[in-house]
Amino acid sequence: MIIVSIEIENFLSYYKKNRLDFDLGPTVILGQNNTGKSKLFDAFNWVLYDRAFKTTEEVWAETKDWREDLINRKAKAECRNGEYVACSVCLTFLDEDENKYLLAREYSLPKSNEGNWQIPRNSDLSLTRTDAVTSNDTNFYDRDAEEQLLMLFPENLSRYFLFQGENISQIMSLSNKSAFTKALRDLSRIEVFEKAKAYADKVLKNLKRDFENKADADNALHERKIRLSQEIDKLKEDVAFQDEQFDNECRERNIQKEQFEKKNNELKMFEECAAILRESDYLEAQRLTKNELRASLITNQKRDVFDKWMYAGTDAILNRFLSFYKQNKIEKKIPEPIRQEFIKEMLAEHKCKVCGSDAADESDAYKKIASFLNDRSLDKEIELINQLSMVADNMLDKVTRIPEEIKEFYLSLQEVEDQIRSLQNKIKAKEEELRSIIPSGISEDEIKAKNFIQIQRDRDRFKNDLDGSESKINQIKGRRDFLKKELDNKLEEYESLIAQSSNTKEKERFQLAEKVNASTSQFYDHFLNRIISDIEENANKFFTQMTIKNAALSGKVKVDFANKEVYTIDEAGTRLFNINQANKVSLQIAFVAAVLDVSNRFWDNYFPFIADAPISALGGNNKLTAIDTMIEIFNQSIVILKDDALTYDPDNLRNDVVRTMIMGNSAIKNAYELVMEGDNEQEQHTLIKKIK
Amino acid sequence: MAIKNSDVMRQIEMMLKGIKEKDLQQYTIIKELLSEVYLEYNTGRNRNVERKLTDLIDAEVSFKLKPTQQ
Repeated sequence: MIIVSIEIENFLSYYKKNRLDFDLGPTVILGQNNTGKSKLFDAFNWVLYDRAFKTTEEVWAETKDWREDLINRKAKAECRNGEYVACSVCLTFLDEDENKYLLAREYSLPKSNEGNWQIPRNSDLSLTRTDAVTSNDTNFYDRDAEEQLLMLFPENLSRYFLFQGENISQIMSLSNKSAFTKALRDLSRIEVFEKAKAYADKVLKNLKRDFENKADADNALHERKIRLSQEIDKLKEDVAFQDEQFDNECRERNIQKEQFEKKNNELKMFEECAAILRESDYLEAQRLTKNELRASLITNQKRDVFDKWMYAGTDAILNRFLSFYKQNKIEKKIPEPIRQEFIKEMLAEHKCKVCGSDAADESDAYKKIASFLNDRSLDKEIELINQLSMVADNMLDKVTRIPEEIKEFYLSLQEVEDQIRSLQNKIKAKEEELRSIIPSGISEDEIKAKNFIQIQRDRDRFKNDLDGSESKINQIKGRRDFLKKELDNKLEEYESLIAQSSNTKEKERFQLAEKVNASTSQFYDHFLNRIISDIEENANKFFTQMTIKNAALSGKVKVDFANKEVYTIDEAGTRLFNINQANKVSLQIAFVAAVLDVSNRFWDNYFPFIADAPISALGGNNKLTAIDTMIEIFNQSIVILKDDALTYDPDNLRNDVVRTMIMGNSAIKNAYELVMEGDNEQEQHTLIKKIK
Repeated sequence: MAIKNSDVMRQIEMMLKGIKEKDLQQYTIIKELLSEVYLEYNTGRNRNVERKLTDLIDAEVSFKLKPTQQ
């Protein structure tokens, strides 16, 4: 089906006649809040199924009880007494054979002379079909029109092709088994094969009964036939029971397997966390020791270093002092020591042998010479000077080593500080490692307090249950195989009895019914397998397309028909449980789109995809890739999107990603913008602008 | 039916191609069965498919047995 146009007159926010044309391929309709986007979606729903979204109660409802509310406010306000307002939505569309249809739902709201509205009971529905070859028109009205319409747009499929993004979780809850089954049954129309199978089965039972009830000419044969048939029926029941048991046990096993894996993963995760925490604690202890070492290094060396720092540079002064002394010594500026005997000789001879003057007893010169005989003798002074020189030499030696010692201290300090830094980095890395695996909402203390033995016990219990279930499955399988073998033998025997039966007609009927029954079962299985594998392949393709630009999203789509669930798996095939919201929405859209696409292709019956805010739950890159994917998937898509651009700002409009995408994508032939016109509430109505 | 979904019929016929070549009798019955079920599914109206299927089988059997009886 291809929608050609929709014409809306005085319906909700649409005043007078408004028309939107569509082509094969995508059409994008943009609108800010309260500009009539959802009212446009309502128009599609109303014309096809006489329903609209009742905003006061926030539900989709048939409109028969609130028709007055559907009429545009401005049109009603302008209606004079004794006149009427006409409200209508007309949809023009083509089917796959290019037959053209004009569908119109309309009604008039008369205003009495007293100014009261007279609400009509029903809306008028008309459908005109123009044959593509002959151009002949066929008209259908009301109930007939509705019946024809439901053939073209089955209502049970409407929620998939009339797609409302805000209600996606109601359409397709991924963990809801009945929603999964419903979506799959609705969209794939597998019910056709199920029903065919059920009818073939029922007819087979009737014809088998007819065959068995008719007495055979050979009475013994007839009795054997009846007995064998009863035995076969009983065996079939037993096999069916075992099949059911087998399926139930497999389901049980899968649950236990899931629980075991979950518990095992939980245990592994906690063990990993605990190991990290242990390593962190060890590193922390090391860090504290090093910190203490650093503190003691600083405390112990502080005084030394300070002193050394005080003396730093004194080596130059000492050097100067020593070289000054040595130089003076060389230059003989420091007198040589005077011998005591020489002084005694001068006193005995009363003569100074240095200057040659006389030194009589008790004279000043005599006293001066005598003074050199006491402790202050020059050789003692010289000895003192020499000692001082030695001390200076020693000091110089020590002072010269000061920079080296300071360097050594700083190197030790630096080494300890490097070790502390390295430990801090290791602790930080462990914290990050922990954060990456620790489940949200669980603190480190809680992990430390976890009872690993209890978790281990739980895991082992699940493992025991799982092993028990596996054994049970094997047992059931063995029993079932045994019964099947017995059944095959009985069936073989029964076949030979049928061949011997003289009731040709009943026999032929029964045998033909058996063949038909077997074929319809085969068709069902074949269709189911094919459709599931096609859906999975398509869902994967769409999901990848939608999530390719977002690195956080990964995994492959798994359509698990046995458990009636859709989820994502990793490369190893393990189910991913912690998927984010955007991932979930993408998965839902991908699954619905895949089922719709496969169904369309299989039945060669292409529905347009009319979507109101399909990506409201998505943002950023996901939003654009989701639009691109939807555009690509469907033969025709009419996508109504919330306009996020600041329309009053030309720069913002120019750079708006959605508008850029619309203008740059050659597949989009039509694009519209909805704006609200009018100054007050009574005057306001939707205006449609064509932007591409 | 005023509107007949010819594409669906084509699809059903394609699925039955294998049977048509092997067993024309079975092909005729299953084709009619599937199209009736499809119409019943689409319109939601009871089309007495069980009765029709029995009649189809009877007709085919009668046709098969006719020459033998003569």
